[in-house]
Amino acid sequence: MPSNVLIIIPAYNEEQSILKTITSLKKSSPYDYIVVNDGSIDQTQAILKNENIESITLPINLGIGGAMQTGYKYAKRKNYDYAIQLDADGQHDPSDLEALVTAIQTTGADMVIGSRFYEKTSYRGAITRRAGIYYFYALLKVISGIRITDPTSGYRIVNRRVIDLFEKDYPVDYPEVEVLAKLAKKGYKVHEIKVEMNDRQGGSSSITHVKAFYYIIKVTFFSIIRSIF
Amino acid sequence: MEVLKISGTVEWITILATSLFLLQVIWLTAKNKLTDKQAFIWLLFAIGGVIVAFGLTYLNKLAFKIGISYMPTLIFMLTFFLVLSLLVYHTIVISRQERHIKYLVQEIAYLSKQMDDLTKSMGIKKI
Repeated sequence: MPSNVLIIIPAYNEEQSILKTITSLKKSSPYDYIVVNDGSIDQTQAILKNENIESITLPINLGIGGAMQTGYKYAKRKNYDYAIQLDADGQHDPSDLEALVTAIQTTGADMVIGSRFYEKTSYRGAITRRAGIYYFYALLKVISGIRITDPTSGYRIVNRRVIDLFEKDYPVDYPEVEVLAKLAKKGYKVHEIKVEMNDRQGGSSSITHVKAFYYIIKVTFFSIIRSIF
Repeated sequence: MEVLKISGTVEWITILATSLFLLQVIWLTAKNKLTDKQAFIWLLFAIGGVIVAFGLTYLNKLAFKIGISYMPTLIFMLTFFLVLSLLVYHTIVISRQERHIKYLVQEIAYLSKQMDDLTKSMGIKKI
């Protein structure tokens, strides 16, 4: 019987970690999954094909937003009730999947975020990263009136209402915070639960200092826009 | 403050320059280098330029009336806002095309996945 939960795994140049992530996922999750290969130029595509991993390949790189939206479109067309975003770099622990599914089913929330700060966890990020996360927490509190302790966490589950929304419109880059402002504006309920996050299993973060600056400005501007209109 | 006098030479040079611009737009349209919608916008722009070139004397008087002693300043100001509006319009066009490209890329990926699933289920080896 096909499950009604789809795990969406956006992947761009994740040859070092994708196989480990999928193996770990298959061991601990009964849910369907789809890797969205976002126009990778390394061996990611070859690994997906050789290992017979369920995947959808974008012919060019659309960025995280475009890849995630592809996953939401797939979830919508295949009639899934819930969609979970799971990073391909192994930072998200698949053992928390069940807790996310249970939380969204029991709380009646439209989105449940796996948070590193909702309760005490072993996460110890760089001070600059933590400051950035706190900034977005404060920004959302001011402009949308919601308290999300980990607004940049990509580990999140959404229900069918949100799948319908995201498959039509989803930010191209750095979508995590912006969509929260949008959901709050539309009156959707967002909930958080505690999750543990691992270090990257391979590759490096795509956010450089210049990109971090762009990230903060872009997300602030668009979050304010989304919270008004 | 005195009204700036415009010599006949300046008037003719302006008419020549704007007419050449109009001819260029017509040429690009005829060669299908511009799509109909874009060509129409540039045609309006170019025709407007020619009209202004023929009416430099009137524009000069208008500039004087609204307190601009040097008429070319008025032309620069009007052109600046027009070009700015054109830039915004073209950015809107680019944004729309980006959305369309994204949609097409996603559709291609989805159809390709469907084809893979179908060939797998039928036991056909993909070439």
